Amino acid sequence: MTPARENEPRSSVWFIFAAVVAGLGAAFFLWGSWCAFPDSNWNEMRLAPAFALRYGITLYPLVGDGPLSTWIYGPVGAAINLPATLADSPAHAIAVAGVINSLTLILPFALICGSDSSHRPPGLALRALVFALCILSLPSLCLIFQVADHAAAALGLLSTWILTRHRSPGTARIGWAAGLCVLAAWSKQTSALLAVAHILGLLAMRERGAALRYAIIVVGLAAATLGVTSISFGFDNLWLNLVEIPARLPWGDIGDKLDRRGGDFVIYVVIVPILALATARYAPPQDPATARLLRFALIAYTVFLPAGLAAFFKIGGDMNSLHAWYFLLPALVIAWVGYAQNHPARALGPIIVTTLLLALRFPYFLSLPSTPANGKIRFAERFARANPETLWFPYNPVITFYSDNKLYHVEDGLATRHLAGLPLREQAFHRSLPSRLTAVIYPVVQTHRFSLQLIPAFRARTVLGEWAVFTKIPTP
Amino acid sequence: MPTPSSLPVIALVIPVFNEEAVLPVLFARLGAVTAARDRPADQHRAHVDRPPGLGSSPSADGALLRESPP
Repeated sequence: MTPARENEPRSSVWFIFAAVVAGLGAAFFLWGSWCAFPDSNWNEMRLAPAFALRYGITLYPLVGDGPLSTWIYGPVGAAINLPATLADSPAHAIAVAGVINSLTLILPFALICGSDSSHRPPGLALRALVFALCILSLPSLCLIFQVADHAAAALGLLSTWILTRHRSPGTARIGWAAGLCVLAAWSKQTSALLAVAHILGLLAMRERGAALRYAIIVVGLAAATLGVTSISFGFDNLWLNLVEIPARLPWGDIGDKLDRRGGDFVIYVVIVPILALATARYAPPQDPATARLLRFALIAYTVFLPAGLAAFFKIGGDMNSLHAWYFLLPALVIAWVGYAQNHPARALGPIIVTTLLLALRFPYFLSLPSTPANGKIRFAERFARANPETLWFPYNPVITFYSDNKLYHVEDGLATRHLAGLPLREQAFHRSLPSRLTAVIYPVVQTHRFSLQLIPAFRARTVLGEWAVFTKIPTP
Repeated sequence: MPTPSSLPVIALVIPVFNEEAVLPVLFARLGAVTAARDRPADQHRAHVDRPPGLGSSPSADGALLRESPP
């Protein structure tokens, strides 16, 4: 009997204990984040495109069309929010979107943890532990803000996982991987590079036949989906919104970005990939499939980096543009937990790390609401229903969609077009505003108010709860 | 020295350290110590805002990160 086997019952208790503690911590993290999700006005702007999709409102307006939304990404990221459009109120729609956002991020972890074959008993507890540690390692704002990168990252990770389960994958497996990769690219444009990473990965593993089949299938699926989306949305519309506008956005202030995100930048661009590279080299996961996933994830990370850096340094770009670290996360956790399981001296490692993560997160956990923070939305909903077709919430298009059955312009859509140097035509601008506009309403915390500059008559400010209401100054 | 097997867990924990402001506060305090050595009379208190972590951005919690239009 090996030393590991002799100590198995005792170490098993520690692993089960760690799994329970990490699971409770992860559950609290998810619950608190979901409760905080409605508080961000950003999420409502990101949800509005799903309503556009469902009700046949243009998602990709040309110059002079409207409403102008924040969506300059593929339709997949909007489509995953479609279930939220079935809700009976804005508050419920946002709540469903919060669930979708969390599930998008954590479901790939569940599949990968469940499929790893390296764990000995207690297998379920170990898989639960890996799953919970993956969740606790997510940056907190991922669970509070919805961005197009989340769908792209999740689909990209699933695609990579399917492709790496077996050496020399068969055509069906390659087809699934290529399909998910294409969906990832239709979530965020930079994810098209994942196909390149997969082909490079297969070539690096000396699987030329698989690489060729993958290349053929992914190109075929990309062409087919381009045809379908062009018919559905219009090629010119797609080109303007997915290619031209992002390309025309100016560079941001590099110094300011590094001031605000310098720590994140160094960690996710330098430290994490180097540690992941060293893990793949010196302490790879025991399951060959997970070790292969880590190698492919590293290739994907490298291929994504130039585009991620470019997106980060563009105006409005941020750390979410560098989302390829997400591909590395599950394989790293599996590698470490597997090692701890096979070395009795490290049996306490998981409970120590779990305790450390929870201790670090504790002040943040205390700051999270314990019930959904949707009072602001409910207040605005009542206000909008009492005053149909008269109120414009530039940050909150879903509220007025429920009261007026229309989508109006969104602040970020207007600002993005302006920054891209595209003209905002007055007639088109007014066409997608409430027909009897009497008030423009911003969240009171939102101090940058681009739209007000387009309708300067609305200068009288009143504060109603968490909302700043701008009306016309009465003429004497 | 960390062993190779501990590399993955370092990769997991460091971002959380950073996100929960442990590292920025540490660096700020180190910076403050250095500054105090240079300027003993200077009483500035290092202040570090809690950094939003990865995924933050929502390319600008709204258009906040976008520059104000002219």
